[in-house]
Amino acid sequence: MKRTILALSAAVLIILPSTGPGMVQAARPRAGATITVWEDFPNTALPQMQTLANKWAATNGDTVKFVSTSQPGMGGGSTSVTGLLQLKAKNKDAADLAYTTEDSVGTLVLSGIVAPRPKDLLSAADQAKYQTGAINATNVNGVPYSVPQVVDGLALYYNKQFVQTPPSTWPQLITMAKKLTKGNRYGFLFYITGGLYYTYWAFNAYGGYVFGNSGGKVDPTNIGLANAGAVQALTFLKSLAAIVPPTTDYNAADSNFSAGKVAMTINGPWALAGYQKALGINLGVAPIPSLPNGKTAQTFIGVRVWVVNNFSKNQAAAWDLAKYLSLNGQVISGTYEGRLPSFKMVPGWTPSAAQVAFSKAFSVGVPMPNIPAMAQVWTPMNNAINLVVQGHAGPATALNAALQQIKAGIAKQSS
Amino acid sequence: MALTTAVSPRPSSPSGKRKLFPYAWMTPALLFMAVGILVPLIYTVYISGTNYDQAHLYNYHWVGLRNYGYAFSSDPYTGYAHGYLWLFAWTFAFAISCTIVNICAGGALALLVNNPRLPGRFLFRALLILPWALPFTITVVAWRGILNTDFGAVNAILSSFGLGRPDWLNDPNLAKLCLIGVNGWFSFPYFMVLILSILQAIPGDLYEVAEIDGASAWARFIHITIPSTWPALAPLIVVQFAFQFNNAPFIYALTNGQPPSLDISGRGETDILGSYLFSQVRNSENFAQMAALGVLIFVVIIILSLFNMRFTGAFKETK
Amino acid sequence: MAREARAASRRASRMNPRGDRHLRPDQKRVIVVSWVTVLLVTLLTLFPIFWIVMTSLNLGDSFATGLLPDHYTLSHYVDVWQHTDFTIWVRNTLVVGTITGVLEVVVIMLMAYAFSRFRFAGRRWGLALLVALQLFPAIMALSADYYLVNWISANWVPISDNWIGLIAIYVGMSIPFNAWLFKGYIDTLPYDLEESAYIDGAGRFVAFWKVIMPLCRPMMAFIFIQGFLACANEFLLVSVLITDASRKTFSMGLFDFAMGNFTTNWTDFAAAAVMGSLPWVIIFMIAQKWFVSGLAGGAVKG
Repeated sequence: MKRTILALSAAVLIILPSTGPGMVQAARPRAGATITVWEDFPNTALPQMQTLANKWAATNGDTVKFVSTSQPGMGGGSTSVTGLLQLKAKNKDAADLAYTTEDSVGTLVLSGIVAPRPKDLLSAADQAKYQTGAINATNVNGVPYSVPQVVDGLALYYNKQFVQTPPSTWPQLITMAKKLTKGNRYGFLFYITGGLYYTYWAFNAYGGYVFGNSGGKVDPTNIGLANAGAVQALTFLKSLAAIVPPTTDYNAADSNFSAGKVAMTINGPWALAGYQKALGINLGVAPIPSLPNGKTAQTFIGVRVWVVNNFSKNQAAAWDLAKYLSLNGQVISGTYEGRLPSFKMVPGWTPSAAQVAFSKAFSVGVPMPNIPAMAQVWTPMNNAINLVVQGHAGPATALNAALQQIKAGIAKQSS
Repeated sequence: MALTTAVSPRPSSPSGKRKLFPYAWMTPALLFMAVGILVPLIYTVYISGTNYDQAHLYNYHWVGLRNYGYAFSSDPYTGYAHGYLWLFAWTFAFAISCTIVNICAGGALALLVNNPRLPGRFLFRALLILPWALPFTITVVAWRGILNTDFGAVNAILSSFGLGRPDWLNDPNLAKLCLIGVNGWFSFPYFMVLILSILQAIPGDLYEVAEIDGASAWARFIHITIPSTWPALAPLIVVQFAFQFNNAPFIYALTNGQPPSLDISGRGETDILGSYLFSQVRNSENFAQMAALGVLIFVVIIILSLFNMRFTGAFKETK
Repeated sequence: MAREARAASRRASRMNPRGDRHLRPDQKRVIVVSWVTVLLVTLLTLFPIFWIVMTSLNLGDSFATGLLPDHYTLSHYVDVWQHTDFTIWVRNTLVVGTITGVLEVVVIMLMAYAFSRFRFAGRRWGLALLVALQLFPAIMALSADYYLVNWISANWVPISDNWIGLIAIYVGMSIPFNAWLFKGYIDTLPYDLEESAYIDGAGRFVAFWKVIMPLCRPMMAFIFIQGFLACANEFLLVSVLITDASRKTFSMGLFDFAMGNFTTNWTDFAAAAVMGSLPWVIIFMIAQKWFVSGLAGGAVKG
């Protein structure tokens, strides 16, 4: 008996120090399983994540296999993780854990593809570590389905070679842009055909909204995308067509800004690494200017989350891994992934000046609704915005038609 | 020795194995037809009665004829009748216009190239076949680039003449014109070659005699060329119509159905039935409703088929 | 008598005073107008091809601003060869196309022979069915194809992203039209040849194999090429059934590459287009003889 106690205490003493201070302990579900993870991390972040996951795996004998969507056999990058889940969630080699966007979780919930988060997975203390918007985004109709990892949104990038002080209002930006557009140089260029995600800040500032609240809950029958404010916003966006070619796509804006031919653009933190490499110290980040009506521009905040496949046989282990990666991987995400950590404060990580600017921009951001009805909003709104900006329809007509399409989609979804 | 059409030589004594012999020959083909045509058809009907779509991928259930109800209703939120009718009308219009343009263009060129005194006619004939010889996906996407509003060759030429830059592929009406035009570019070589071979089968003496008798070129055309080509050409007209009716890859490749319409069915302004179905399945995962639409298309095709059989006297062939 | 005299005098007036076969002025005018028209049409037809070739040689991401590139480069060809899955697409297309073509030839030839030479119950209805199914579009069953492939993949064999389903559907869909055509062709072959084989003691199949099949070569070639081409050109069915990048066929790979996620890389696409088209055009020009005779034969006689 004494020997057993000695052995046990020795074991505990050996194990304890190997987990450093601040490291969150992993629980011990079954051992020996292979947890497959579907993800789309950029190449810079994947090795770091793999190392972190291996640490987790070492503590309980499992193996973690990361499968990237850009790998052969996984769609080659043209299928999103959400798409993979929809297609192959029931296959024998399907993932147990997946890294996806929080606004697509709603549809996955409807199809029964993702499992609800165990109630005791994240303690109250853990949940308090996250930004409110991020942790709330994991709830679909009040039930948590995911674990947050990073947040992203939009801000204004500018080239200090042409713009010393970033504009704080849109009229200022437009004047600056007109002055700077000469020859093959653009004063301002952005992904104007990107649809609602890239333009929501305008709708929001003029009084448009996606889903209203009623009784504290998101109400999918109250859609504010065709109200008077939305029409004004779309008219404003259409006026931007004077300085931005109405068919500008992502690559046109992105590659031209990297090449130094564009003074200002609107994009997210995923492009930060590329722009820093291209423009170096000339790169500046600022919040999107406030609209002509004086209201602040509030960008959509998107959250990247971990979800667990409902058909998986290793759900407990997968949830555990998700919690581990989320609580311990914030520094990795901030440094290597290009998006911003979802924690309020990340000890051990210094954000760059650009990232600080992003944080400031996101602090006034609006979280994307993630109820299932949200999935029906994108296509009709994207179409309406493009039709109006390219001059094929009037704002009110297009938005009313989009509203109808959204309602039609929602009606279908719940039947 | 006169050509005899095939007649079975032996009065087959219907012993089991002998009787089944012909079926053995057809089994592999029937197997493929079953897998490739029959099974999908059955499942299309099955799916059209469920609500299998993006929101119900693993938990769909039977809903009866609801999707067909939606297809015919004009409810503001679930009625697709308006959209489908519009799609059908444009599909029809597109197919007819293409058939007319393609056959006339092919025929006109065949007539021109048929002239034995045309210098370099063999070279012309070889060059004019190129649109047909090139892989279809490549050339259609290339045309997208050529018709691009900001960078395309067409607008580059037009703007250098000061004629402005029309929005070829984004304006609904211009896009439709482009579809028919580019389709013509693709299809005329096929008809040119076909009609050429038909023309060359017409004996030259007919023309000579007519010319000697004082018939004008126009009269020769009306009274010799057309009656001689018509029997061979007629069935091709129907086939071409049916082909263009289903020519979804072409529409999808050139315009992707764009620009989008304001309809709740989610169709694009240049979508035909097939391309709309494809984009709804591929991009919106709207399986059940599209299965119902597929069944409706099938019914339309059957009607066209019956017409085709009547027109070409297919039944008379079987002896 | 009078008629021939008239004909002779007209023939005489058709000739010019020199008495040889030079053209009258109005016939000359017709030739000139025809020639100019055909020339214009040819130029118009070839212009897009010319333009794409020029784009593939243009330095940069997009089209040349003038008619000819500002700077010439072969970098796009290198780019496409090395940095895209171009070689994979071509390889995939060759494999799938050949399998489809061969299967089609075998399966259709047997069926056509049976329809042509045998008399059996249901023959008339079978033929009518062949004609009826000719207009059946593959698009119609897209939902079902997707559902079936995924259901089978999840529950039995992982055939999604395999070509099995694709080939089965291609072959199945091509049978009605081609079997009808082939049957018509066999119908025109005289029966005596087989008869002499039977007299020599050969069985049905041997007669078919030794006598008829060699004569069917043009048709076999036509069906093979048609199957191969249809497979290589097809991209709707492929994009629904195949999501794996390493399994894409040529059309689909190129289309996805061109209509990329956010943008279109025109110059690289143009280079890929030129490279992909060359073998095509060559094969087509060679095979075009058979192609046309197969179609025209079916059309004119059928």
